[in-house]
Amino acid sequence: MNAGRLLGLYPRRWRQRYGAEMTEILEHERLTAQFVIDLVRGAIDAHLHPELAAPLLAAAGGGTVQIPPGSPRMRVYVLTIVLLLLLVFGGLYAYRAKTPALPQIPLTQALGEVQAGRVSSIEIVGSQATLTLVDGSQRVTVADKPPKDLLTGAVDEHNRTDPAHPVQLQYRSSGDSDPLAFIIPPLRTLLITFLPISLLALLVLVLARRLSGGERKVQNASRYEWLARIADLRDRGVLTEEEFQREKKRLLE
Amino acid sequence: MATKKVSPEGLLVLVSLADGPKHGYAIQQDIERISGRQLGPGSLYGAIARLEFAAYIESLGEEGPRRPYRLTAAGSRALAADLAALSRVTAAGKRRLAT
Repeated sequence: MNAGRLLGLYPRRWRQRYGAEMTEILEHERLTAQFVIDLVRGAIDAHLHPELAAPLLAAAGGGTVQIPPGSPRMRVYVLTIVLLLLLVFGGLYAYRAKTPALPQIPLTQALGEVQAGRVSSIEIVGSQATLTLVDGSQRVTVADKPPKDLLTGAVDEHNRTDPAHPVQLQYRSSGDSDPLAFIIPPLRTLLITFLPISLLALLVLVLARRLSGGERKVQNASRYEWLARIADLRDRGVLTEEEFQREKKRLLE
Repeated sequence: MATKKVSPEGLLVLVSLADGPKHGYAIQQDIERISGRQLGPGSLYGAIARLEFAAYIESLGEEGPRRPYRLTAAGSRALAADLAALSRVTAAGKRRLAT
């Protein structure tokens, strides 16, 4: 692990101001896990407090006060929230896509159900067979080419031995295998595909609007915070009255 | 006038600078000697930046790895106030432990 790379986590201004000094310390120490954590924490802290490494040149005897830009703290929070939501939505979506709507059973069990006469109808779509049981519940099983013949064979045999309660066999051309799909296919697909995305887009839009409003406020606030700070410095005798007036004028322009 | 709050790490830095200007690495070594605590560079410079921001310390001389810091008058006052508060706490703690 390279210490210089860790210092790269700090804001540029911070690196300019303290980077060389921090590197000197790092050169004297073995870079332990404790130090790495310390540096990462320090870097996060530095990003959250951009005002810290802003040199107050006035105090050093001249130059201008740099007003720190709108606090990035807000941006960090919003970004975190958006990322979290994205993860949650993505996870839900993936889960929804993966999970069959109906309980899945192995083919052998499906064959058993047919032989036991508990199946009233079977619908085969592609390699997927949906069994409707006598009690009305449904099961899904995956039956590929040869096993599909097994399934249809079992159905034929059952229908021969028990013609009073035949199993109805239906084939449907492959497509959406979701049993709900044939009810309102276009609407449903649209909903599943675009609902999370449009919700996300809406969210980002709302947050962005709030953020831009918020940032203006922060900028104004930091200007007055800065003013309070130089007033404090004057009160403590660090700045002379004349220096304070000069900085104040510059700040309020 | 009220002093700004100084973190425990900041207090260590102020104590370290009380007997004269030091650069970062010397501050770190000094703190380890007087408190047994090894401050990582992240913690140390977090504290230094805050103290500089509060104008309790200031850097001497030009840029470079060996830039020394020194206590300002406001920093000395803040250190004295913090130490007085600490010693009150210490005294109370000792008294209560003894009884």
